[in-house]
Amino acid sequence: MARYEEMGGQAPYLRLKECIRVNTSKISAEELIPRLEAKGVKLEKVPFLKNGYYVISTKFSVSALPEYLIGYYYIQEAASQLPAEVLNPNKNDIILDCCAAPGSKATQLAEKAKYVVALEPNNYRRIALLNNIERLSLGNTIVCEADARYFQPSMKFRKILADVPCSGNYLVEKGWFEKQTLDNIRQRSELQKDILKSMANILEDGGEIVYSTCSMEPEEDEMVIDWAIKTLKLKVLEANCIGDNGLTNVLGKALDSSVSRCKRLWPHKTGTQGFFIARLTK
Amino acid sequence: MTIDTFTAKFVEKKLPYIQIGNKFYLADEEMVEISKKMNCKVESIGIFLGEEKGSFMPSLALLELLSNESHEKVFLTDMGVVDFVYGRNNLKRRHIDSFTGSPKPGFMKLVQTKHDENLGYCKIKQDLSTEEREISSLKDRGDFLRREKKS
Repeated sequence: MARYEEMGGQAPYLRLKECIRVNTSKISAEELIPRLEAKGVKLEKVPFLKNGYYVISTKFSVSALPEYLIGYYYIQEAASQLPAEVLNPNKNDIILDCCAAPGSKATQLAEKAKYVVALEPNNYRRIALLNNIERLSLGNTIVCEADARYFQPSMKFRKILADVPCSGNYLVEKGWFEKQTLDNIRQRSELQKDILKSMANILEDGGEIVYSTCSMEPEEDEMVIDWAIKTLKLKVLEANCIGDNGLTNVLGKALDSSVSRCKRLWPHKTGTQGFFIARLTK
Repeated sequence: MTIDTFTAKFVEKKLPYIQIGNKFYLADEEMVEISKKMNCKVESIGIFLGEEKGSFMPSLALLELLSNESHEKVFLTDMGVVDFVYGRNNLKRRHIDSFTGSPKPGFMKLVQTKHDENLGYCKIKQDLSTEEREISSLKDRGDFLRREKKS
């Protein structure tokens, strides 16, 4: 916690609001909300998201309603809906989601994109991804058994989402502070760099990678981006979403000034879990 | 039963599916071309229609697709919807609101909400045009929850 204070942040306990994302490829929010309200689900629009709604109160679990099973919405924390919005998919895009399971962001992208290629090396996690694609009735995804670090397709991508494996944060895992060590965080950081390097190789010139984590640790966030600028020659574009600017002076280390174009979400400021989002190009 | 004999029970049109191993998918040509460029194992492409496991097992996505064109449907009451997706095997008069297509026992029907949303499929146990009407569930969308619990 002391290191968060050193970075100008805090780590107070917050109860995260449950949040859903309307699957607009199947139903509009205007149709869905009255149906859920009639069943005693009170919703409130998340001001910084296109299709996100906080569940203010509910008589039943929103993960068990028929509307959920029909695929009208995905239960997805508010900050986690931002990376796909920042990548800004459109109907001509063929997008790579290189760490796709369980599928919250892959399905969010597939709602708007022409096609989504979703990678996941782990069999159990890939089953969850496939279930979510089927539940949401998305027919434009290709799911591959592949590790992003070693993925070598015979084509390049114009848009890539790299929501990389990370150490998480204290709001989504009980006892997080006791479980994590700096060694773990540094190991994650190396994995994240390997993934980013692999993705930079298959990114079209002028294309975009949105890199995100739900970690608040600079070794997995700003320092990875600083490394990508210096080693992979990627450039940072403005990430258009809520959050503080990325830190450019972290724990005594000065980083490239363009890292400030990234966004860092401090829970006590945004009311969400901790998150980090960078938009990169080459 | 094959995928073709299964779909023929609901629609006349044959689906232009592709097969990967024992699984069936609906995908356009461009997707297939993209998948060939991935140089890795492609597990799924487009809409998963079902798989061959001795007999053809339809996916919930296929049932939903068929429900857009088929008349072989049974519509449930609100109580019927809840009971059906929570795994109740047999549904009777209080669960069944109306039907289209054949009412005869033994026929398969797509199971719909009052908004015509597909929830799965069933077999008719007792004639749907009578007071004794009854269906027996074969697959329902509550399966998504059961799969989540398993994983």
